[in-house]
Amino acid sequence: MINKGLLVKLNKNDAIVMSDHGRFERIILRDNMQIGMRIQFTDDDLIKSTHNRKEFVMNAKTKIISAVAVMAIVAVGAFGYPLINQPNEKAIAQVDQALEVADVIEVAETMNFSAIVTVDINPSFKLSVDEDDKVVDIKAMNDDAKTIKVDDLVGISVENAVELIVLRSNVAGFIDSTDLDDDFVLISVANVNEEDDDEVESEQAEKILEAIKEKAKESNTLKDVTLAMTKVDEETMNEAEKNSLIAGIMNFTDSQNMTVKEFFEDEDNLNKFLASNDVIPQDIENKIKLMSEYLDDLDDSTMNKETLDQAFRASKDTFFEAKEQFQQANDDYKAALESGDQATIDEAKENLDAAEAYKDQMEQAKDDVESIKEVLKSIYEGDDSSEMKDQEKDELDKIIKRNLKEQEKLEAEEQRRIEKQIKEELKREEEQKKLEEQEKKDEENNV
Amino acid sequence: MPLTLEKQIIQLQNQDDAKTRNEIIKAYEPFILNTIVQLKNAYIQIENDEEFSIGLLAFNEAIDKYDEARSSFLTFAKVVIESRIKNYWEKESRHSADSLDANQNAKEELMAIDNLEKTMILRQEIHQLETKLEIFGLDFNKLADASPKHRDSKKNAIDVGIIASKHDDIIQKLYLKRKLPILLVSQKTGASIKVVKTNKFFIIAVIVSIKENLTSIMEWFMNEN
Repeated sequence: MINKGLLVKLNKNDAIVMSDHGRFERIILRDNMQIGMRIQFTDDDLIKSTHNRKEFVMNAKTKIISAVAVMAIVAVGAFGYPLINQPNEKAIAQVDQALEVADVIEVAETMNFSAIVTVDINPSFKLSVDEDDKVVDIKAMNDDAKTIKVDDLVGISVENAVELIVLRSNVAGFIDSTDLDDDFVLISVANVNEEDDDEVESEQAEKILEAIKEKAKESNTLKDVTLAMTKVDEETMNEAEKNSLIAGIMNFTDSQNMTVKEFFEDEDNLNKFLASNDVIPQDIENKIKLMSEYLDDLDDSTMNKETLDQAFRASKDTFFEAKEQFQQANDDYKAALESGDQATIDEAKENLDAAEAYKDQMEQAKDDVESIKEVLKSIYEGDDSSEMKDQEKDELDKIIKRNLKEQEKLEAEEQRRIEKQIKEELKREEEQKKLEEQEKKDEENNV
Repeated sequence: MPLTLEKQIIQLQNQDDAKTRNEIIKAYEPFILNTIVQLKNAYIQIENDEEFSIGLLAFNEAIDKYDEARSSFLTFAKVVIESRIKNYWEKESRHSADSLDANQNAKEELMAIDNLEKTMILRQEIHQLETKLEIFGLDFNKLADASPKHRDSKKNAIDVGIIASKHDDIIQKLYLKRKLPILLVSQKTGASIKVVKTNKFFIIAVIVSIKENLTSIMEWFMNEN
């Protein structure tokens, strides 16, 4: 969308326009800007955050899977069809997760929050949420929480943030999802009221609790745990933070250092809590179903190996073809040398060089495919805790870098060729115009 | 499965369809604008959109000339646009040295002066607005940071401001408490409390502009809607 904007302020690092939708936007600073100017701009000109940097969260495995995906795309050029045909569901889920996080890169520009949500498992987090239910700030409230990466969760919806916090706590080992014991996740929500708005009571806390409940219905991550949800008031939230207590259970127990787990282990506490709040138990059936599916997946991983074998064979064939062509070019060159004709020799040498370069390229590509196969094999057969050997990681990095470089080279050459073409065309047009003007002048002179 | 852009372009080359062609051009107008803006490293002014027209023509030209064997269509289109724009700049700099058509030049100069005048008037009003907004603890930076992310209800904010400015009780409370009386505004304008709350700073800006008679700024709000 192209927007119109009236320039109202020039800052050191950006400019502010009043757009034709009645919004004030920060845009990139460029040359010749003056307050009062009316300009056209697009979403690409918007500055979305004060950092303007994108942060990805990927664990080693996801990084490798994404890297392999990149490789596959780059290598398609050489082989003509994708190498990865039926990826493992789990792999997709992890890439999706990484992408979902990477997708949302807006960092809120202001601490404009209207609600606070605390997530207490064992790690405790405090999320500040704005009126659109988007997270504008996350704080780790204890040491365990500090070990979990959360700064990339700013900007996404609160229910997604909660899900990811639970997922990462799981991965980090704070929740054991393989046993059937109850893992409690306590979620407390409070409305934050501004002084001048006490005429209107916000319903946001209820809305947020509902959103999380809805999310829990379809999220495997949340189904794995027992969700205790409660609404508290702002004072309780503030007091809890001040005294390092847990807001959600503060009013049910006097004990100062109780963890969420300890609290709910006591049935009396659980009942007191249930009297005025919701607890969504973990979905055990779902858990058992997922575990057996995962085991099935492992068996099925041979499917992927077959596809790769095909690709590997194809790359081998292409390589042998290239090798034959090279032999042929070599023979031709030898014959040309014997003929003694310089022109023929030059041409044959050119062909030989091209054929050799092509052969080397195909050989490299064949080796690359083989490496990918090995890497994927180790991923599909590996379990969550195994890490890729450093050597293999380096190999993969090298391959990717090399392929990307080649891609860049090709594109740059292409660019140059096109520019040359256009320049020539423009020249021709100019000359044509000049000719026409000249003709016109001649006519006038004759008349 | 939807066609890739490249496939659509090839289809157009084989069988031209004005509707599809125009749809594609329209869809990529932001791309065309960005290409030019990045080349210049300056924004295109609304009144000076000759360059944009050239960009559109170049994009259209690229549709005709795109070759399947090339890399992506957009990469190609970008190069064509940049070449045509550069060519235009060369012509312009030669043009002013030539002054073949005195009339044309005069006309252009008048338009430029007009434009500059308008810019100056707006600038004055913007500075006035900035000063007045200080009373409410507002400045343009705050307004930018408080702008909601969603595209919806924004037009409403302008309307809300306009209607609100007609109610003396709202104005009184606003200037007295230095804050927007949200409930009152919602009642008198019919806008939901959520909308008023979300856009409260902007609404204040509208009301102040009206009350301080900043007519050019008002024109901007209203025209560009």
